[in-house]
Amino acid sequence: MKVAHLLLVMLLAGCASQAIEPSYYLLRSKQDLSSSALSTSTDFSLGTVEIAPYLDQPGLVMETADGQMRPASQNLWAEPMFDGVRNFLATEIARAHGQELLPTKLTAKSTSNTTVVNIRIDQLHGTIDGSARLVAYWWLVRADEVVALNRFAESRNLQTSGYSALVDAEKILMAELATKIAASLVTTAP
Amino acid sequence: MKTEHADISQGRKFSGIWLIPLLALVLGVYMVAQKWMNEGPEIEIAFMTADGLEQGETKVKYRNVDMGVVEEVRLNDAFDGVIARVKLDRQALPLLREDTRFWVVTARVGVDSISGLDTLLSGAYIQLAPGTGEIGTRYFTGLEHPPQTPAGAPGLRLQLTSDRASSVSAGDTVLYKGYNVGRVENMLFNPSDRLVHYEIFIDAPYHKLVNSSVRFWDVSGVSLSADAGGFKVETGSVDTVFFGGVAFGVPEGVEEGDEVEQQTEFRLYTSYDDILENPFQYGTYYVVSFDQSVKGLRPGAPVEFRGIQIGKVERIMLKEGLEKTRTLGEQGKGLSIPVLLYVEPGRLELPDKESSIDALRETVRVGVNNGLRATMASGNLLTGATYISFDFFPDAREDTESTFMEYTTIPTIDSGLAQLDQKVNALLDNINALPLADTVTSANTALASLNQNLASLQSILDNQSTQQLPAQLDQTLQELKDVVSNLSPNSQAYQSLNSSLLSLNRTMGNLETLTRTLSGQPNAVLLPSTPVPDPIPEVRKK
Repeated sequence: MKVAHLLLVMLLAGCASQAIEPSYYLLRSKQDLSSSALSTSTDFSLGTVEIAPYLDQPGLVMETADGQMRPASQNLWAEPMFDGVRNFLATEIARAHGQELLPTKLTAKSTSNTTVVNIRIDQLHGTIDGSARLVAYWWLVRADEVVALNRFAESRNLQTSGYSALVDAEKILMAELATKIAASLVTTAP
Repeated sequence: MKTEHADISQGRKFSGIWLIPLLALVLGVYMVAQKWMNEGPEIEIAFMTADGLEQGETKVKYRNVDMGVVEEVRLNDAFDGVIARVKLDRQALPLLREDTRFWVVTARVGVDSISGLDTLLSGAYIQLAPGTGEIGTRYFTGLEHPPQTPAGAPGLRLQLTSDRASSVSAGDTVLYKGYNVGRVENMLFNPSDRLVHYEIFIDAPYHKLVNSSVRFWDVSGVSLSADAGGFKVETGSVDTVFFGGVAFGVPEGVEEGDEVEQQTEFRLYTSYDDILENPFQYGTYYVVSFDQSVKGLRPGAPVEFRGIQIGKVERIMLKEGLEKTRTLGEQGKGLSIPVLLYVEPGRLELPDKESSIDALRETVRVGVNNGLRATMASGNLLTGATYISFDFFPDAREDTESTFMEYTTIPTIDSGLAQLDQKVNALLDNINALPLADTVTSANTALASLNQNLASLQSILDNQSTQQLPAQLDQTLQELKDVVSNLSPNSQAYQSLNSSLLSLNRTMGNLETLTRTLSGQPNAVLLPSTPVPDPIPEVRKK
């Protein structure tokens, strides 16, 4: 009987594989912003920030073939994707615009004096051939009317192979998106 | 002896002196004959008065040519008129016909016209209007008023009768669809038939529009009526508004009739609505006798055959019914009440002609043999109005037509109305027998109890704690409002709740991944598979 137990334990030990430690990445802006150095905008506020449903998961997403997506299981975001994207864009827009955009209600209702910036991240993933892709839309709402609708679609090659380089490339694309959004605020100022 | 012979002398022959008187005689005869041949006729004209007539002065004219002169004016034998003896020129002989008319032309001022003003200077004269009848008449009756229509004018002269004098008078126009086609020539009230008679003339060629189906109605003045659709004003032409007039036409739904002769008599309706109510000219009378109450049956009540009105009740012949009862000694059997009906064949889609009456009578006769009977039916339960209804009752007792006075009678049967009346009376008796007094007493008791309950309710409402309820309710609502406001998107509670929901969502996502893994590899919990390494993004080779 003892021999049978020993054989079972050996069998299970033989079947078990060694666990791979996952890597976690944080989507944060590198800008050093202090709250005392920023003023808040009275003309604009940050409304809804939506992400495509396929991005709302822990792992980074890789396009292995045309139209085939695969979320990574060992390379994960350190926080929910939604929180990371909103935080990153708020910081970068404040940097580019010079004023911080306070969040409005989640319903994105705007008053007659305030222009609400609503953003949707449609694509944010890497490709197997070494590039990062970002497709996003943003639209400005003033007094319940859409006053501007813009689209951003860019790709960027990775500097080195690996997920760390992918995260860096995605950050650069996100920063470019924030710059574009800030520029559109100037042209549509009330 | 010597015989002596006397010489016989033939004497003197015809003396030439006799030629003188003979010549004078021949000349005289010639002169008399010449005068007799050139002398015109002498006629007599009767007038009501001698207004405007003067012996030796008043002339007779035709087309403004002098045709003669009044030689004598005298009273007639009855002293109710005058006779004017007139000497006419010989050329007037062909004009003296039986329908030649004479009237005195003098200045006349009427409502609608002024005429004869020239006679103010020249004096009155007698106008001659030749006729078309037999020649040779020497005695005439003069017209008191100038004729409206020239003698011999082509057209149709008709008689209209009305039971009351309307605004129509002599000289008024006759209209067909608003167009002037003739005139009213004369108006007369006849005391014997108590009808107003109008003589009208329709000019040719419009007289062809008149047939036996046309109706004449008064279009004088302005007709104002009001109904649910608002006010409606109807007028004829402008002159009929002020001076009166008559219109005619075939009512809608009535077939064209036959050609009519001169002097045909028509009824003058008071209005077109009057025609619509009585669209047919021909009808016949029947009598129905009831052995039941005729309460609610009034003159004018409809007479129907299976719901279709075919006539109306003319009158209830109570007097005649009593006479019959006395004559036949039927006292004690109960008086049958005869009712006179007027039935119009036109209402049964028969032509509105006199011949249709015979067809209707034959139909009724056959119908009675097959069970046609009259009953009384209730027309309006509220007013109690009743009417006569005809229908076939195959199970009815056999009967035939008979006569009552000069009218044909149709058998009747008792309607359900009488039975219904009896049932209603029985029902009312039952209602009378109900214990209404006890019911009222109970109701009073119930009302008193209700009054007490209401007083208790009032005391509760007057209680101070009850009166504080609205304020407390208001406070509670305010607190509820505060709670709801704490759940607004910007509130901390909402943010916390939203964060929790997101965590829950992620957990559900992980659970879904686990489920998918277990679905593909059920032993994954005990025997974890070798993790597949993530695909590494490779830098493009330049």
